[in-house]
Parts: sequence; structure tokens; C-alpha cells
Amino acid sequence: MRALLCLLCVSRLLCGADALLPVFQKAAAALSSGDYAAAEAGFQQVLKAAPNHVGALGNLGVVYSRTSRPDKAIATYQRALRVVPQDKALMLNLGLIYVKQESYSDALPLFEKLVAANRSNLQARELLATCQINTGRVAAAIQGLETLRKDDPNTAFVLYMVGIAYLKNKEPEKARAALNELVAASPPAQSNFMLGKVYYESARFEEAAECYRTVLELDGTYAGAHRELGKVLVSQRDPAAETEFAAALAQNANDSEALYFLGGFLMQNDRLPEAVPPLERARDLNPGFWGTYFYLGKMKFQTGLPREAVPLLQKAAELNPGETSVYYQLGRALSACGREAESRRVMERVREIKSRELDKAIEAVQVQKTPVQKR
Amino acid sequence: MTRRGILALLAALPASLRAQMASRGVKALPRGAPSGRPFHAHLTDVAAQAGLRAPTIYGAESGSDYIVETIGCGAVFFDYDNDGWLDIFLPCGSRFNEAPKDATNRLYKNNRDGTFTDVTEKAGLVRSGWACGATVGDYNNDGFEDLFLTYWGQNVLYRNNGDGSFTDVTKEAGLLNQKARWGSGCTWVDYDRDGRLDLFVANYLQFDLKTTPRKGQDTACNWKGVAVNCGPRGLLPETHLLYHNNGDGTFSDVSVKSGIAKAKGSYGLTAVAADFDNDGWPDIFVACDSTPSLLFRNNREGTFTEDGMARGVALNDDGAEQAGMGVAVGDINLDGHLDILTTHFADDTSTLSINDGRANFRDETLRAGLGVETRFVSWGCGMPDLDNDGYPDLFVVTGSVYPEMERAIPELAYKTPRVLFRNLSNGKFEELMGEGGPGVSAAHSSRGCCFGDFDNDGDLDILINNMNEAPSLLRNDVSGPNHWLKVKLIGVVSNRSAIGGRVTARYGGKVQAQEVLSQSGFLSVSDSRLHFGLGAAEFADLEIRWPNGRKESVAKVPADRLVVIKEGAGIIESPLTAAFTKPAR
Repeated sequence: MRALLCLLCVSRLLCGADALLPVFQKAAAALSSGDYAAAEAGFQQVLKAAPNHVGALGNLGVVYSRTSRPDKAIATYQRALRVVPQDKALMLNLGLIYVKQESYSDALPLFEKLVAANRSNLQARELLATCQINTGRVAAAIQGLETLRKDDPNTAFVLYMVGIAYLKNKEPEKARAALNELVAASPPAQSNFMLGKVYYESARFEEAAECYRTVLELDGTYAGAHRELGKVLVSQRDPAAETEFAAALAQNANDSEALYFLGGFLMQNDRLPEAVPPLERARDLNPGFWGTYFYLGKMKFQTGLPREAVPLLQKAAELNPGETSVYYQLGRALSACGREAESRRVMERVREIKSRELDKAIEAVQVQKTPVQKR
Repeated sequence: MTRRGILALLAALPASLRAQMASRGVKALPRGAPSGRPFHAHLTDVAAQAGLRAPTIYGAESGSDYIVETIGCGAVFFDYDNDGWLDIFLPCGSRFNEAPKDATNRLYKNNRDGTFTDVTEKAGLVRSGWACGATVGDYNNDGFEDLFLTYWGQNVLYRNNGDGSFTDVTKEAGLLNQKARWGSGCTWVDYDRDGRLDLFVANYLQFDLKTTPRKGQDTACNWKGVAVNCGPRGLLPETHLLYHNNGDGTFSDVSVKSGIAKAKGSYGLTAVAADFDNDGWPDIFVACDSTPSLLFRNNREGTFTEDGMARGVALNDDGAEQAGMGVAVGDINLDGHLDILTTHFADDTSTLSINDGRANFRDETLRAGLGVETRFVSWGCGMPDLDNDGYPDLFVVTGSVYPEMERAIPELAYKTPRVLFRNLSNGKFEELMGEGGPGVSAAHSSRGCCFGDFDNDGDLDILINNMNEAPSLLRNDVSGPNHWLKVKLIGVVSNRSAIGGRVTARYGGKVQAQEVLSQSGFLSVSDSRLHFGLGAAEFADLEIRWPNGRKESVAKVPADRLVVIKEGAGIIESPLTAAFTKPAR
């Protein structure tokens, strides 16, 4: 995707609180320089005096987003949008957080509004298509992506998305045509790398593996190719995944994704002590990713250390409040610690999420209200 | 990195909007080298020569428009005439178009020579409709086993008259539904330990032909891109029922009062009542399809608390719901506690949940080596010790729900083989590919299965109900030197069927617990005579815990026989033991 988080809300969001201007400006400067603690303190100070200060709310959301506190970022953007419901920057930022969380159904209406307000906003259109694909509205996504393809024919990302959409819509010929365009538009190694991603996203693991192997034949040092091949092999439960992750880490010892997948692979294969170092290293390199906390917590629980599991799983839940597997493990760990009331609350959250998912499935089928013709 | 990363690691695919059964997209783990150990059980399908030739009609053969045509039904081994020989009851379904006139449930009497006679009509059991689950128990404590059946429509209670016939007493028992429901799992359970069997009934989903989209009418209803019948996800879920036995032939609906009705939003299938937390009171586990499974823990004062999530049996180890169809309960790791095996959809493993004795379960599926098999849609299952080596094995029957898939994607066969995992005695299992005999490798679209010794030769045979085919009766011929022991419990103060009674056997340095269950597998009922393989041990010490909590012990029971133990009286002489005419090996 061409752009991700739109990070800084501009000062036009200031709503006339002149006395607060120096505090706000200092906080904004701290945000720009990466001093998030100072920025947070400054914006909080502004909000204490002016609770509806949209500029402070928007920027505080950015601080939370950058410091891996998505639940707080979401709440803050939502609070700001209650003050200025049509603000496009806030909508975009909130939508991006939701996409990052893979809460596509929450992000979808925001991007629908943004696209309706401005058809030339290519980023919003791409994000809308992403949400549509991930919420089962593949036909609508295809329609939007085909228009995007005409408006911006040289974008590899659009072709990549078109390929995924057609594959998901069981239209392999059209997918192939889009992917051929993608191949023609890029050097062979790059195009095969992107093709591999398309197949991986579509759970067509054999084809994905073939693409990544081709990449490595063309360019044995292609960045990320060993890691991506390893990920595909994990999905295929192929023990050769370990070799690919080792090769990826030989190329880049700080590849947090390769470390994370290697740790998870070792865990899956019951090699728990070996899994700890790569997972801990992945966590240190990318402290905002919930998955490493989840696996480390799960491992502690499985090895009879529920008390050590709880804080790790709580951190994972904080980073990804929509993931039931985290709450499930957390609930079990709390129960094992004798914290039954907390466990019950957490399991209730799992039930709520599962129940919402079930409701969505029922809505998708839309049990017909009018009688079906009987035979 | 986003959620995709973790999903890939879990080898799972997003399922939130899928309108079919839960399938995790799990690839099988590589198989290890075979152990090379001989397997002393050999299973051969003898159904035709035994006289079991009538097909079980269930839905259209070429493809199903509605989910009700695909679920199928259980299978029952029970001794309805108390002659010491297992008889067979096979529920049956129907068709929306032109159901054959002889589409009926069937009762087969054991002729004691390896054959059976169809006595359905004489027994008064002819009935058409969409039968589903069965449970067997002596609800009126008159010494004869009664039969309860679930249906899409109206469930039925048959009272055994003791003269070879049954009477439909559904109405007078107070078990008529207010509206048509889809009863699925069912189990007798004396939940208040008053010596009378109460009745638990699971419901699958709300199904109405008038409002359910037919195959092809809703694009959300597809599997791997092929239009299939809708459900369960996408259709409205159900709640479950508990009936209290009033002791006068009637039952009262206590679903709300007992807390059972609180559990909402599930597609319930097989129900098993057993004491999972070892407190002496029966709990109820319900395998649920594509929704979290349920564990109703008995509060010992007439109510239950649903606690499956915290106990670790509602979801798999990844926190995902599975297709929850069949349930096997047994002491798979020989620690004296009851473990659970559940069966699921294709692209997923069966799940083995090990009990710590306090109903805290841990998912040991992958560690146990069950991750090597994900090819089939799995249904009936059990933990029978097929080779009598003292270690329970795992047996699963399979079969797709979509006959039409095979035409679109040939590798997705409708009829698939049975799955047999041999217990390697070290916490690991080995899938036997062909070593179990032709009855294991034969392909069928199977649903219910039950385990019992129909020929009374000291091993466990298997009865399997197949879709639109005659059943399979897998006769087990065990070779080798292993010993065995069967235990039949008869309650006196406790319910006469001794459902909920537990036998803990100690033999050759091992301990194994089994309980008398009145439903397990997939909506099925197995032999109520508990079967223990003893390996080289020539005797076993038995501890019996009766359904009312009272305990009895019997020491040094010699192997290779059936013993009948009556509550308060120990081992008794019984005509049932005379049926075992074959000498001990």
C-alpha cells in the first residue's frame, strides 16, 4: 500500500483556545521530534483545560498509535470525531488504525465516507477496496479496483489487489490477467515476489512457494524472499521452513518477522526452550506487535507458569483488543492463577466477540423472510 | 506485522463470514516413520453376511439442498431383550423427494450366531422422519432398557415393554415439543442422583424449510467456491433442554431452572454425560458445531454452570471454534481421569483434550501425533482398546457432507476411509494405514458409530451408520496373547442402568477409568458393558463408584470374562455371563 498512517493532525484543528497555544505547539514539536512522553503530557494538559480540543485529541491519537496503544488511539479518535464528525483526517487516521488491527468492518464505513466525499482520493479508494475484500464484499471491491486500475494503471499495488480480489471471487482467468500485467510492469524477481504474496494471501500456498523459489533462483539475495518462503512453508507445516528462516536471518539478523515466525514454528513443533530467544528478540525489535507477547504468554502457560503468562497475554490483549485467541489464553491463565472472577470477565469478552462473529455470519446468509418455493 | 501473521502461524484462515462448518485450513503434519509394532486387531465388515442390508436413507444421494439432509444419525448397540447379546438399533432419515417406503429406523435382534434378524415391525419401532440421535437407559427402572430418539421435528420416547416390543410414550411422558425443533444430542443423566434417569437434549439449529435458503440461493453458502447447502453458520442457533424425571413416567422441563437454557448461540450435536471434575456428580459435555462447545458443570443442587471456555474444552488451543461433531470420552493416558476426543471438519484435526482430574483440559492434539490427519470430515469416534493391549486406541469414522463437491473437485471424495490411531503407550499415537484390516480402509460416508462386543468373543467390534448405504459391522478378530475384562454394572439404589457409574480398573501397574455412558461417538450409544483390555495382566482390581456416589471394590478379578456387579452385592451370578460361551484365551 502506498501510504499507511497519516500521522499528524494539522494545527487547523485548533479551535481557538489561544491561551493553550504555546502548550499545544510545544507538544506538537515534541511529537515531531519523537519525544512521545512529552507530547502526551502536553496534549493531556491541553485537554484538561479544553476537553473538546480537537487538535490535542487528534495528535494524542497519533501519539497512542505510534506508541503501540491502539485501543487508546481508537478511543481518542472516536472522541475527536464526536466533536467534528466530518473531519477527514481523523476519519483517515481512525480507519488506518482499524486496518492495522484488521478490524475491516469497523474501517469500512469510514473509507466509504472518505471516498464519497472525494472520488480522487486514491489512498482512500485503495483502503476501501482492502476493507471490502476482507469483509466478503468482493464484488464491490472488484468494481472499485477496476476503476482504480483505469485511473492509475501503473500502480503495482492496485494490480496486486485486483489479483487477490479475482482469486477470492473464484475468477482465476481475470486474476491471471491482472497478475500478468503486474509481472510485465516489474522486474522478474520483484513481480514473482508480489505474485507470491498474492497467492499467500489467497491461501494458495503451493503456488506461493513456487513464486518465492523462482525469486530466489533469479536473485538469491532478494530481500525478504527466504522469510516469505518460510512463512508459506509454515502454513504447509513443512519442516524446511526453519532453514528458510535461518537464511533470512543470515541476511538480516534484525528481521523481526522472520524471528517471530521462527519462534512460532519452533513452538508449534514443541521445541519450547528453543522458541524463546527468537520470540524475545522479535518482541524487542517490534514491541508494538501483539503476536510475540501472545506466543511467549502461551508458552509460559503451557509450561506451567500461568503467573508469568498473565502479563504477557494482557499486553497482547492491549495491543490487539479484537483477537479472541489472546483473551482465551488469558482467561485460562487467570483461572489457573485462581483469579476466577477476572477469568470469567475475560471469557465473557471471548463470548461477546464470538457472538458478534456469529451474528455477522447469520446476517450474511440473510435467512429469507419470504417463503422459499417448496418442492 | 498484522493479524495475517498470526493466522498463518496458526495455519488458520479467517472464518468469521463463512456460512459452513468451521474448518481451520490446517495442513497435516508430516508422518513419522512407522513404529513397526504389530497390531493384533483385525476389522472386517461383516454387515451383509450378518443380515444388515437395509440402507439408511438420509437425504438426496446426488447432493443436498438443505443441511438437514447432511447431518445423518447415530448407531446403537444395546441389549433390548436382556439375553446377554448385543442387539442393534439404527436410526434413519428421509428424503424431501420420494423417500423410499421402507425408510424407517430399524431394530435388529442378535441371533447369537453372528447374524441378526430385523424385528422392527414386531417391536413397534417403524417410524419415518429425520431421526438424529439416540440414548438408551432404563428410565422407569423396570429392568429393560428404554430408547429415546431425537428428530428434526418431534423427539420420541419409546418405553421397552419387556416382551420384545416398545411403546411410544412421548406424549404421556410430557416430552412433546411446542414447535418443531431439531433435536440432536441426547443423553440420560441422573443429574440429581435420586436414582432416576433424567434427560438432556441438545438442539442443533433452527431449521425451517420456508425460510432457509436452498443450495444456490445464497452466494454466502459455498465451500471452496462450490455452491453447497447453507449452515450451520448463517442459520439461527439453538438452546438446549433438561428434563427432570418425576418418577411416575413423566418428565418436567427444567431447562431454565437448571441453568441449561442460559447457554445460547450454539449449534449442539453429540452430548455426553460424565463426571469430568471427579466430584461424584455428572457433568454434561456438548460438542458444538462451529461455535464454542459447552461443558455444563453440575453444581450439585439441581443447577449447572456452563464453563467450557475456562476449562479448555470449548475451543481448540488456538482459541478457535471447531466443527464439534463426535465425542469420545475415556481415560486415554491411564491416569484415572476422563479425557475427551472431539471430531471436526476436513482441513482440521480431531482434538484430544487431556483432563487433569479437575476438569481442566489441555489440548494435546499435536503432541499426541494426531496432527498427521486432516483429510476427512470426521464424525463418530471412540477410545476403544481394539487390540486389548491395555491402552485405549482412537477410532474415527469419516465422510463428506457435500456429495456434489466430488464432481467439482475430484480429490474431495464423498466416501472416505475410517481413521485408526494406535496408542503407543507414551502419550503418542500412530495412525495405522492399512494395518487395521479391510473394514478400516473401506470408504463410506459414515456418521454414527458405536463400540461393543456383538459376538461376545472378548474384543470390541464396531457398528457404523452410513449415509444412503447399508451399515458397516466391523467384526474385530484379535490375535495375540492379550487379556481382557468386561464389567456390567446393575444399579439398585442408583438408576438400574448404572449410567454415570464409574469403574476404575488397576491391572499390570496401570489404572484406567471408564464410565457407563448413554451417548457418545456421534449421537450414538455403545455397549454398556465396560471393556478393559488388560495386556499381559491376568487379573484386575476394580473400584466401582455408583451414580449415587457410593463406592465398592472388588479385588483380583480374573481376566477374560464378563463380570456383573450389582450395587451393594458385588459380583453376582447372572444369565448375562452365560452368553460368553467361548473359553478364555
